[in-house]
Amino acid sequence: MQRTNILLILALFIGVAFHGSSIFFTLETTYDALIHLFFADHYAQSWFEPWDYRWYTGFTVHAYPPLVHQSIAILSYIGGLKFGMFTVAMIGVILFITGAYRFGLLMTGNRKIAGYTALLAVFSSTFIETLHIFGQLPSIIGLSVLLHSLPEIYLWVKTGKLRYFATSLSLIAVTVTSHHVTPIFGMVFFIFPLLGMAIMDASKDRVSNHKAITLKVFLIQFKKLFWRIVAFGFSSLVLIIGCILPYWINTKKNPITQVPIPHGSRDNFLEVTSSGLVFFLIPWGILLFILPYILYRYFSKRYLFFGLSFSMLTLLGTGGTTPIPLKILGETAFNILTLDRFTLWATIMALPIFGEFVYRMVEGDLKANLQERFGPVYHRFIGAGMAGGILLMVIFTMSLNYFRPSQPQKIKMLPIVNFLSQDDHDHWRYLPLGFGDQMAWLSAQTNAMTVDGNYHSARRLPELTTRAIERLENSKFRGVEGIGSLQQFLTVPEKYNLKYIFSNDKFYDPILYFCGWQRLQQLENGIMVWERLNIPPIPAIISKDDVATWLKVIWGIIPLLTVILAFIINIQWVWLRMLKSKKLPDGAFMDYTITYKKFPKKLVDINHFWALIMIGILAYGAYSFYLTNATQFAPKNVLTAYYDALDFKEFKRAHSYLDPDDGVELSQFMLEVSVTDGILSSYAKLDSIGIEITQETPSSAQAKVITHWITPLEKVKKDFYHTLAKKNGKWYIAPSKFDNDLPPDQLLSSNGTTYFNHGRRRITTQQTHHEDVLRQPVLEVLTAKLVRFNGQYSIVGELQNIDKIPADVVIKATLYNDANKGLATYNAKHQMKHKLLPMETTPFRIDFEGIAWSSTKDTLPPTFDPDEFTPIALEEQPTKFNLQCAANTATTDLYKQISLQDLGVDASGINGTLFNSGIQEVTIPQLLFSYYDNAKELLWVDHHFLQEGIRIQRKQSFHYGPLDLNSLQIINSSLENCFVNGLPNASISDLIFPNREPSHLLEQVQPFEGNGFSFLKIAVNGYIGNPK
Amino acid sequence: MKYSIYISIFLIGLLGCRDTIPEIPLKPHTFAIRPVPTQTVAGTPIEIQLKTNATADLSLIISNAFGSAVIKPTHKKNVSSFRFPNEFAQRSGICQWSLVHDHKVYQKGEINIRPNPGQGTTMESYLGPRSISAGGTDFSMFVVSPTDNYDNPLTDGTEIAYTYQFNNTIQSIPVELNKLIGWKNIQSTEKSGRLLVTASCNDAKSKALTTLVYPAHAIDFKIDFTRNHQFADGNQIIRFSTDVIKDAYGNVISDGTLVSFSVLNSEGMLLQTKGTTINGVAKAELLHPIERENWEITAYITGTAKSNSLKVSFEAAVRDFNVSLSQDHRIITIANIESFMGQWIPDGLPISIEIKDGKGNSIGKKHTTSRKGKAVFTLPGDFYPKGNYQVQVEIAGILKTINTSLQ
Repeated sequence: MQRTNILLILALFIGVAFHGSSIFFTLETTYDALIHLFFADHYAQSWFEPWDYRWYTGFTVHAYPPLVHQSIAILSYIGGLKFGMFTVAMIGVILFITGAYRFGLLMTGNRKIAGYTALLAVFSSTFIETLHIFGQLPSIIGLSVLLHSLPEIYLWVKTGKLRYFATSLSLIAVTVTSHHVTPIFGMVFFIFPLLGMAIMDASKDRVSNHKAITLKVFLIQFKKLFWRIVAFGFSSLVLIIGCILPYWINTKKNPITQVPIPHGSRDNFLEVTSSGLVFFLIPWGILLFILPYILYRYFSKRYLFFGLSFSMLTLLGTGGTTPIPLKILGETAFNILTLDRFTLWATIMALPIFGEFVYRMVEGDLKANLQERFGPVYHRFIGAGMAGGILLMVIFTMSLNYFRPSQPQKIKMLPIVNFLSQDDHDHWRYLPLGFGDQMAWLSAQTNAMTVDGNYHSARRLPELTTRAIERLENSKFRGVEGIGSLQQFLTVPEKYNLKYIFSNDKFYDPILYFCGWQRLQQLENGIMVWERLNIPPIPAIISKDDVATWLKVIWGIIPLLTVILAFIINIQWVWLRMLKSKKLPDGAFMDYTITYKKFPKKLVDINHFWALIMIGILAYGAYSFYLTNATQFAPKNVLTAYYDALDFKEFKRAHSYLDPDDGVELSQFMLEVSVTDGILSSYAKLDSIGIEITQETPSSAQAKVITHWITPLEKVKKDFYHTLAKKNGKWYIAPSKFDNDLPPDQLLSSNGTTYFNHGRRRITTQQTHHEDVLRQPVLEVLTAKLVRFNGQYSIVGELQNIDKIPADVVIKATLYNDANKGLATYNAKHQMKHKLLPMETTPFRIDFEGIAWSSTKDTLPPTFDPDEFTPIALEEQPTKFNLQCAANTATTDLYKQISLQDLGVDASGINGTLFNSGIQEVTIPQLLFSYYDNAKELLWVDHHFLQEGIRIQRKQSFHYGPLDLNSLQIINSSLENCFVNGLPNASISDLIFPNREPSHLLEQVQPFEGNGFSFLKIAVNGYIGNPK
Repeated sequence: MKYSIYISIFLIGLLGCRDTIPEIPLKPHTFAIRPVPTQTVAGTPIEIQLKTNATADLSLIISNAFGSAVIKPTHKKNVSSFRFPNEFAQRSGICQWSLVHDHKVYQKGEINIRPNPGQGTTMESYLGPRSISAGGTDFSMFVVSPTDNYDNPLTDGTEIAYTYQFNNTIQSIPVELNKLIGWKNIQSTEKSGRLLVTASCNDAKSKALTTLVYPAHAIDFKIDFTRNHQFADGNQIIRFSTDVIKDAYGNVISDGTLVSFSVLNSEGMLLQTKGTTINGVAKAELLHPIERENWEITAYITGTAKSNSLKVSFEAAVRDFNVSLSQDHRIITIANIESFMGQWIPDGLPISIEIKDGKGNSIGKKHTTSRKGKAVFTLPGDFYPKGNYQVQVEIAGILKTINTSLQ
């Protein structure tokens, strides 16, 4: 009589209790789970329609196998999307544990070992990581069902009974519809070796023992079973293609032509230790210690093919650590696949052998061996060590997200969802910034559309696919391409009808401001809403890539149908197996169980040796980690630590590296640090730090610290000079002197004009009444020129707000050739003041930016450079231009009290001082330099950001090296095609400003003997981070 | 030949299936239409009645500027009547009708439906732009469209009374409706302010619409300055202000207008500060310079107005200071940096030293700021070995050079 397997019951019990309760705290902060939730929401809303407008200006859900999403969608009708997600995750846990049990049983033919395998599967660090950190639900479901299908496939090949053929194919179909990569690679790495094992077992039936199996016997058996294998292989191929046919058609139609996105699993794990931890150490966990045993068992004759597969998976899983995976997979596959899945499969494959090991250790021959050779205490000690190791890995993996959160804090979405549905805000696209994977959850709750998205294989806009960024939302982490890509969206938002930005990371604020965006309001969840004026709403009809109706129908029906079919086909046996109402035939694999009598002595020695090596490596790793982090061991260490502490705003730690004898109190230091503001201290991330020890004696040193900072605006290089002293064996930094300057006044008052626009004055859901629409302020373009400088075409010019109200200005330029063919269009980015008070002038420059790297895909720059600029490739020579200026009433960001207090010229350029005479702290001051020739004709406009802010009634100095403009060439300087609010510029200036005095402009320029220019004009602009 | 009998039976059978059309004698139909009005006002029910012996297949096609409809009669005894639906009876304009029977038009006519202001008038009004510039050249256009209860525009020539209010004057102008709308350009006034406009027609009234008359462009103005003292101590504010800036019509220019103050210093460099106007007055600030200076200030509202040039001179606040060395010459103390009354110069005065080796090559620069009229530099032995050096101190444009030999 078959007895219920106590270990399996235990495993299920613990597994469901442990994973089932912890998913509520982990799953929502994983990388992938919320993406699947978004897809599920799509199906819940429109089951058969594959087109979703909400991401990437529209994409098709045919890009991902639908089973898991559709299951969540079905369940969401009962208890909402999250209910669906958690239920599916729970089903995944149960399927995985039982799958591991059946896989163990298949491999070993021993129920006890299978029970141990199931128990170990519960605590397998690789499973925990996949579920609780990555949240890869489809992958888990796919793999678990694949594990369930393995015994059926084995039995079909071995016995040839059609019933097994049906069961195995039904399960393969479920696997296919839940995850596409799993069955394809599972075929290679799981099913091929399984078939090999089946033939091996069949061969064994012919001979007396495994040793007697020769190649000849094997081939004969292979011939015998050949048609069964072919039948299975062919049918599963049909299933793989047929069940998700729309997916393959879509892949064929929209091939993934995008630039590969860097993934940690392709790193060299020795160099990038964090990737090594996440993609190697955690998934392998305790298995690393018994690797020799696993290899020994898998390279025994019966498991030979598994041995090969296992070694291959292990090797591929090492990513870029060795060049081998790259060579095996080839460039393309290496860059598209995430290699961590190989490690996942390797560690899953190792589970039955691990189960066997534990069985032998707990109650088998290994126990006897160890007790006999080393005594019972040692056995217990090793046992406790292993149990402790497993627990340690479990706790470590589970807590990883707690100590090193991969996601920003959970954001309350309701205020955003409400904002989007109020007042027709969803008639425009929005963009979340700094949301992490929670953006998918936001998208799932609203019908508003975003230009961003979270499933990068489905991206369509060339601005995105040509760059190695996952999302715009986290572009600051994505190096070069990230911010560059974001800037394109921010500069030309009308192209995408992008009007609202939800910023959860103030890092992006300066770039938003300088690109012409304005703060609208702070929502009650702390998210700042930015808006851009002059953006047209999304048209009522938007295009989509439609597919044939039959594809929609099969996509909507087949996946769940495979589940229903698999259920019907398998339910009888599952039922019988559970209730034990009728004795079931034992699987044929039960015949090949081996008895564990004598554990090889040599293997014990080898494994001991291996474990010692592993412990040695770990200890060395820990030691070297300690050494590089011994902060005050050498001048370099203390400087690195100091800047690291400053970068992370750990001021207390930074202060501890300062020379205590210099008497700077912590409170004083905190005060001095806390008052510095500016792009470097508030919006920059330290990218790299180079330390040059210029002079060193045993007790003191002088160092030059070359720092590179990533800011949202541009890459900043700044050198700092430090003196260091060694005291009591520790190095300290001499504190820098702070400015003693005192502002003149204690209390000051300031008067100014502030503005408010009601928007819709009557509370109504109707379209805004014409009385509430403000007139567009009138601008006048004073000069505009098409110039060529450094091989690039730009439009430079100057314009003025000639109205009586402040204006928010957007300038759009188009280049034409002689035949009036449009060549390129772009907007003014940050080389202008976007907010103008009445009668204020601003210089502007428009550069024509292409879509980055579209032509230089293969030579992606390896490091970050936010101001990386890709000039557009123009087919023909532009000779004319059209300038469309649009103004809207501005009510914010009109602070102008930044004065040019002092100016001087020396050999290196211009030195000057800015003075903040108002009552707002200017976080990022910007200078706009206009260059003029000797006839005071405008030549060029350049900008310069100051790295530190200007506090109230204080000064800030700057240095600027003027450009050499000798190579600049003016191509066209006509105001003929300049338009303001859609009207010709000339008619406006004639009507509104007929008697302009042109000399005023000319009198306000600074004579300057430069290369290729004779006059300069400086305009000042500033971003206020915290308006009061 | 043996099939011939079947063929003949088949042919006879075919003949037997022929449809026979009975000959109906033609009897002429009569239509006696009761008189139809050719003029009516919108909203009056319109009915066409006729006596006829043709009741089946009888219909009336009516069409107006909005579309056409086919209506069926109702019969009572031998009188058929067609009632115009409201969509036609309430729409002003020409409404044509044709009586149709059996695809033939028997009679047609048209009714001129006039608007019906008697039941009340409603009015839509539009005024734009909502702000204009003073001076009489700029204008807003006021457009009204009076309609009757059924949304029919009133007839041309209907009188609309336009009323304006500006300052203390209220004036009314009659305007005649012309091609559906009545309109009037409202020229801006010379004075700035709020112009309220309203219109009435029959019993209908519009709400008051507003256009703002903004002041015109500024004309030249005057500037002045205030400061606490005339010394260049780098720590006092000098305030510039304009007089009340007005436009050519005497209006104070709009609040928020930017005035830039351009400051030419004695080295020929242009400094700048900005102010925005409130009630016509703009104020801007700068710090006093740190050394003797002569400033010439001109303010601009670029393109429209310019101020007088103002000359301001600053006397040096720091005239001298002491440099002393420690015993080993490694600590350089700069002291007694005094301001104009002999007080310490306000904290924060920039001080720089340049260290040159014996041959006069620069080997380092150090900067600090003064505190309590004092500043200290140290030249540590680790970096400045024993030997002869030249140290140049610069404060507020005053240079001092000392030769020293470090111990």
